[in-house]
Amino acid sequence: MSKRIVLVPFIILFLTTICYAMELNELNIQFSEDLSLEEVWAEWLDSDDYFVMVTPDNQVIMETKRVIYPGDQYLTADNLLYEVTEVDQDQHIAYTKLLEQVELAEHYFSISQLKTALGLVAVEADESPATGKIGVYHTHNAESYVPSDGVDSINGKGGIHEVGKAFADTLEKLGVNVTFAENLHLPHDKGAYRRSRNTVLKLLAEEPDAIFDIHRDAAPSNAYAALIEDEWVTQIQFVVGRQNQNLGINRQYAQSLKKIADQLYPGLVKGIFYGRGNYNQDLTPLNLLLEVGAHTNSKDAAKRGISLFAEVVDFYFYGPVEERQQNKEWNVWSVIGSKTTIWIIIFLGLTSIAFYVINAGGWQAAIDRLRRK
Amino acid sequence: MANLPIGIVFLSITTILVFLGFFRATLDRMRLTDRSTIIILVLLIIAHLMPNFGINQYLAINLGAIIPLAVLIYLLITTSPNERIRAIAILLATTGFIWVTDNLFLNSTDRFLFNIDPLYLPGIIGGLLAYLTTRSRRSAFIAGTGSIFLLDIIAFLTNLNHHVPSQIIIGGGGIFDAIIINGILAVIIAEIIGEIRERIQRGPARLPNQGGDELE
Repeated sequence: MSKRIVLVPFIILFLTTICYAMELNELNIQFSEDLSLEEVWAEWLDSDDYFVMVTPDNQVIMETKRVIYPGDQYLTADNLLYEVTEVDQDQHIAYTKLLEQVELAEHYFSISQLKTALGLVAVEADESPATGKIGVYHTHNAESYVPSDGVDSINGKGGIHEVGKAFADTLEKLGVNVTFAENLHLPHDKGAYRRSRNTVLKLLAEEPDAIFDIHRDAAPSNAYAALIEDEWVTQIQFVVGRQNQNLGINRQYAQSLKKIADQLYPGLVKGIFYGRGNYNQDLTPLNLLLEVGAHTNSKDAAKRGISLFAEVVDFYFYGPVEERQQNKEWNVWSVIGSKTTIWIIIFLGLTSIAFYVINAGGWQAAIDRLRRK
Repeated sequence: MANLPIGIVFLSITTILVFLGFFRATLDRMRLTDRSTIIILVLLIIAHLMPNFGINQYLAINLGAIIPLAVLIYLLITTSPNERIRAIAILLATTGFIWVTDNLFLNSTDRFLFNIDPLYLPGIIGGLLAYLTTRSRRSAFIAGTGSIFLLDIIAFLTNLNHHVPSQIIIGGGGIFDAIIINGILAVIIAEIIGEIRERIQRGPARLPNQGGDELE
């Protein structure tokens, strides 16, 4: 009984210490009664207050309400890879250093095939047989576009669902089978990714070629604006989680997809953000998070942007239409998949040996034990 | 995916084996017999194929979630009354802690604990709390898995309260589900801290030339 009494204050002490460490005034702000639910759901920075990632010579790389941490990386549209070295929490400025000019991973297509396909995709797509399967879902269902939806967050299916549908519709027009999971994962808190895990697993059970988790960013309207083929569209930003074991494959996948997008529609892909987090990309290397514009952009521009990107996805996975009819397999995974497998096996092997030796109590004891057996 | 390359297939199989290995070690630490451990592992693989059972438009339970839930209840029943109360207290503390980080600290960039991926935080906090308070691996597992159940139920009640037609599905991911991941993680955390601490404590007294036993 006495042990139990000791336990209760211990837990209370633990939680209180943490809360103090977190500055309780934040709790007070959050609990204030005039705060609407949408404000709790939305990204936490005040309106018009964004994190700004800057180059060493203070050129803006990106602006976002997404939280930026030291160690995050950003691959710009020009394929310059920057890494965040320091984040000024008061000014919301993320300082970076230039790591390298990245040579994007080669894909199997030649430029001539690309050009041919560029002309063919729209014309012949309807006649092409159904190819592969793509899965689409939204972890943050509430996300919306202020100019079109009136608010940045809707208590249910937000404007982002229409953008997801535009993506799915375009892919289907191109002959791709699409599973569009409109499951809701509300409330919009940090636990949304835990809940959307089930959706990803259900999608995976249908054996898709790739899965896309479609979001919108929170940024100024010009951050994602691009003029492509005389039309204003929102750019697409890829987000790759750094806290997942598939990071190596995710990185190569995102980069090779960007390369195709750069060739088909230059300027459509804004960049690749390698951020802290997992985003359920541990479940499959084929899961990519897309930010389609920002809450300040119009939904129509976002739909136009994602429709162009659907053509990129179709081309990336299934190749030019005429190649498709020859049943040529487009297989980008075998090389990068096997590399990662080898690393995992090496890691497992070394860990097992270390475990065995530590358990035995040293190298000699381990060798003796092996001999005895 | 019909033309799935061998690399990806092998990678997936390796991941599953690693997970199952961890889970076997986890169950082993909770004094379950080899036979019941194997039965649970097989059931978990089958759990991948289980359908969702919709209770209403706000809540569904995947039949696969019954397995970790059953393990959790079994552990609670078979433990001593004192440990049961401690385990429940740790479970509630873990759930409360995660709810706070999920909802109230959306942008705490400079604070380590709150920047851990929300997928893994319940297991880490559950494991830490369980070890620091009771040194019990059972309590760690109960806190890791149980907190995910409770958080799902809180999310369901939140949606119900705001009439948001979002169906919370409890369980459903088999061995990759957040419930299992966090149960394993909690026990691993408790085990690692425990092993390190116990080895540091016992080290000098157990040198072979002083007649100590071989470390196991």
